[in-house]
Amino acid sequence: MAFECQKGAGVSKKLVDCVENSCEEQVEFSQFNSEQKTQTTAILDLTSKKGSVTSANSKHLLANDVLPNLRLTITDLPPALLSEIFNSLDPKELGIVSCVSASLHRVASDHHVWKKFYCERWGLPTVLTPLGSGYSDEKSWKDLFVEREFRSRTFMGRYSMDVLYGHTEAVRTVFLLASAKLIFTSGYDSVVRMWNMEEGLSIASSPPLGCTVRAVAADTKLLVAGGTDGFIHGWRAVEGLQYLFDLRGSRSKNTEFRLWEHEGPITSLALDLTRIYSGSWDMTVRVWDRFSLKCLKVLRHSDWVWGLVPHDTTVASTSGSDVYVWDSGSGTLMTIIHNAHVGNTYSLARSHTGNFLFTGGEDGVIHMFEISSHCAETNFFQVATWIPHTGPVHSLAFEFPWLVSASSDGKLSLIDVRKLLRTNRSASGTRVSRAKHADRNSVEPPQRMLHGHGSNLFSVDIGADRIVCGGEEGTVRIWNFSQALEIEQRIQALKGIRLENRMRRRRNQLERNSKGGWTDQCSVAAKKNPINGDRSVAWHSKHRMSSKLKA
Amino acid sequence: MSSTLCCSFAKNVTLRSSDGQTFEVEEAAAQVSQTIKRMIEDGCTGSVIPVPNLTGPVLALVIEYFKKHSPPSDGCPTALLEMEIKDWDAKFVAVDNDTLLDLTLAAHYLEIQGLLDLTCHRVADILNDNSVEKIREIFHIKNDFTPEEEAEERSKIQWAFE
Repeated sequence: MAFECQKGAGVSKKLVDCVENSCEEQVEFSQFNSEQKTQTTAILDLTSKKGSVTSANSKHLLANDVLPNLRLTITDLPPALLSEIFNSLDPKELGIVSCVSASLHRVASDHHVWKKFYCERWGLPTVLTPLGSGYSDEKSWKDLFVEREFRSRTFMGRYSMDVLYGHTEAVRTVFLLASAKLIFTSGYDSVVRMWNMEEGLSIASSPPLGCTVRAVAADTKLLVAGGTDGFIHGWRAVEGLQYLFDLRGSRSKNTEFRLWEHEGPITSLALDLTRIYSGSWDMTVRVWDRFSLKCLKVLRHSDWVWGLVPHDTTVASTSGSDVYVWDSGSGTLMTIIHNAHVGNTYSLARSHTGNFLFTGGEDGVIHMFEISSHCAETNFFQVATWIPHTGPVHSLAFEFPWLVSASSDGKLSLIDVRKLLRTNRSASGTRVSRAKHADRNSVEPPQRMLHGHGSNLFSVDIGADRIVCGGEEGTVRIWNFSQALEIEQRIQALKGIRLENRMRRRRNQLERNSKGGWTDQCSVAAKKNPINGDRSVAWHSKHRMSSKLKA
Repeated sequence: MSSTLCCSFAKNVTLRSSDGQTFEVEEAAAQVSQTIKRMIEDGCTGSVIPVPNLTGPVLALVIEYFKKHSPPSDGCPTALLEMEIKDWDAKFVAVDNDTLLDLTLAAHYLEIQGLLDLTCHRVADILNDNSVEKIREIFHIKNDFTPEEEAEERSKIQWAFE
């Protein structure tokens, strides 16, 4: 280091002296990191170049002591600046930073990006708790996020199952409206049924709509069902009604409507704040205004439309074996994925950020695609592939980080996509979560399979701690994971107690043995024959291991 | 740039750091900093612009940055030039942590958005993928949690450590 400094000294002795001083100081505490040393060298070089800039002025340099001797640490930065830095961290990093020190914890915990993290994954919380303004508001976003992230493990735990009886024929579609704790289902019997998500009880059912219903979608303001005759039947929420919708239609008819424009069976429906989206075997997706009920756009495909998911200004749809991404405002095609599957691409799901698409096909395969836009160009690439099913994948649903699929082999698969994602910092400083570039030919295993149905499954939906599915047997099943973490905790506690008891017994045993002088004999034997002794030790530890495993 | 109030022949400005070092730099280059730009526009360029928050070595680095990022004389920057500047930027912030923090603060005081983004990203990169202990070590941060507080905080975000 000193040598480096001497070289620089030729240019501007005094300046280098200053720098040298500070460098030595730096070197003292950066011994642990050789990389840092080279960095220090780099800055020296830079600074000595600066000699030419300052050579004229260097004689005005004061003595060395003017260089302030205090070392700046990151905690000395103003909070606004720290905030700026934390902007480009992802949740995990921010969580770690918040454990470093109390002052960093304050800044990191109050940071507004927690809200963004939450909404990117799950959208706005379904139940908006009455939050205070300002400080406490920001803080609770972190708490919300942490809580939700923690609870997402629930799907790996134990579940209980409710079986809902009511439909007389196969169930084609299920929809979980978590914010209202309601489930809507329908199918070949042409009746739309409404269920309570928590108790699994039937609340109401519509009169028969006259044809098979293959799609249902709802939010707290509107419920729509699509029939094979090509109509969309809608119910507007009735104010003051406990369960939002008056399915029986006993009141005045002005809360219901029917839209007739599709020329073939409706297979998929979706809602956003201002529009209704419908896909049909007439090879079109129609975009409707929610309030005027006028058809705004017709998006024409070259095959039957199977599924669609809108996001912001785009809508993704599957048609035949292809996947389309449209600009729903202008009605222009942004990109198309040809032959995503062998046979039809039956099902489609999308992440909350909109840039990940999941497709399920007749071939039993599930693909994950990333959609990215550069300027006017939209590209896609395949991120991952799963083959958990032996039959066609009829339905997919996504709730970060879980993708759930339902197949005609009667099984559900649960897939955790977290390890496929990484956070990327783009040049503009915004964080974009992206997929890791994996080997696109490799097939990932699903994290969990749920068995239990013997027959075809047609539809699945997922909430924060529940999975709802329906199929050929005409029942609707709710897989309830809401107690999984609590059960897990109880089991862990029990295990702890049991282990403690065992240890106590063993201690007692040892004490008794030592009184009998048995251990003495043992140690003598061990001394005599060290090989044998080793072996017995090894056997003992192995035995202990296995007993632990059993515990 | 020449539309500013000060006389057109004074193309250079002089900056003085907290420890009294002075640096001469082209006015156009110095205006990369919004703070300095405002000062020039307000006409306080009479003799020397004081930059009391920065020490000499840091100001020297900042001026290096000014020079690289001053608006090109011939108008629009080419893609090649942009690439070159990007490379240069990456090398520029590959410094030890104390200098990096100094630079971050300097960018903050002088309102140099480009440099601020650059340094903030660099700091974030260092924070990235490091353990709590490692971050403390790198930035010489004192752990001012009580052991109970820290344990509680860690248990809350268990998932981040997996």
